[in-house]
Amino acid sequence: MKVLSRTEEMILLAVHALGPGAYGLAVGVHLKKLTGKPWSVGATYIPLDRLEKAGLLASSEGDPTAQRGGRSKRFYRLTSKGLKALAELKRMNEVLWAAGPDFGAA
Amino acid sequence: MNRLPSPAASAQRLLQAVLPQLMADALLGDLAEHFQQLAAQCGTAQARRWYWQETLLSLPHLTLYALEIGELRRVSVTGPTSDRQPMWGIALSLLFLLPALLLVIPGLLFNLTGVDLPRQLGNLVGPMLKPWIDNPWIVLGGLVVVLAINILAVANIKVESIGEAVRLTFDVKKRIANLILLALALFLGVSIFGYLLAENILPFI
Repeated sequence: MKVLSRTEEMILLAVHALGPGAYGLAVGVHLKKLTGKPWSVGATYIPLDRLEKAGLLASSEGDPTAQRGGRSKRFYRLTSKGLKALAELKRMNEVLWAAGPDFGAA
Repeated sequence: MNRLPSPAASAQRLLQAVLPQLMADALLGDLAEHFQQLAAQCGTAQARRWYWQETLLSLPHLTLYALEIGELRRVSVTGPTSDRQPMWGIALSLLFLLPALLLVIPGLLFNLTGVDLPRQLGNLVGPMLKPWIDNPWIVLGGLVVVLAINILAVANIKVESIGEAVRLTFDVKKRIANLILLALALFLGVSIFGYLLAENILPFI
């Protein structure tokens, strides 16, 4: 399986953390809060679309609202393939960090 | 009932032109939702600035992505969409055309009648405009601006693409004033360029 980029990993984790309320804007706001860096809508939606096409995310449409100009929200959730990919990433990170520098004593 | 404020229509059109179909509704809806929240908290002007900022930041990535997945639906390069003549364009064109006219018309008259108007004109327009007229390269630069303004005013270029098929269409809006300015700028440009060629290159042949 193709190794996910750091952005894709963060998007998957944000979708997991937000649960049923995970839609594009909420994912961007969540990541901005965690990283302190701005996430443009393009920077959020492109990986979301890629991950959905790869089968790691699935999406469903919400109801349209006047505040959104009559447009619907697209809610995302992790698929079993997405969960497996996250587990694999976590395992890889742990192996890599096991041999990484120790910041604990600093 | 109060109407909800709305983001700049041109920013929305720019996004709609490049957004892949499946993404369009959700992304534009998210932007509209955050725009409304910002407008309520900080005012419509700041919300509009944010909307433009998001549009400009996202546009290059979205365009590349749409091209990558073969879903670039429509890119349109066009001048002002209203039928009204863009008056500022005509005024600016006339301003940039003036030095070219002052350079070419007296030269033509001198060749046809032998009357040395350029010297008299130099005295007439005074020291401020004379150095400008004396440098044909600067005048040519002005003509390029005139050409650009008027081409944008009359040309309507569209690149439409669905999947792998790409269609290019080009049509000209019948705006007489802009077409006359275009023709005049082309004539003056060719005349000055021809003169520069004759003066700088032909003597060495």
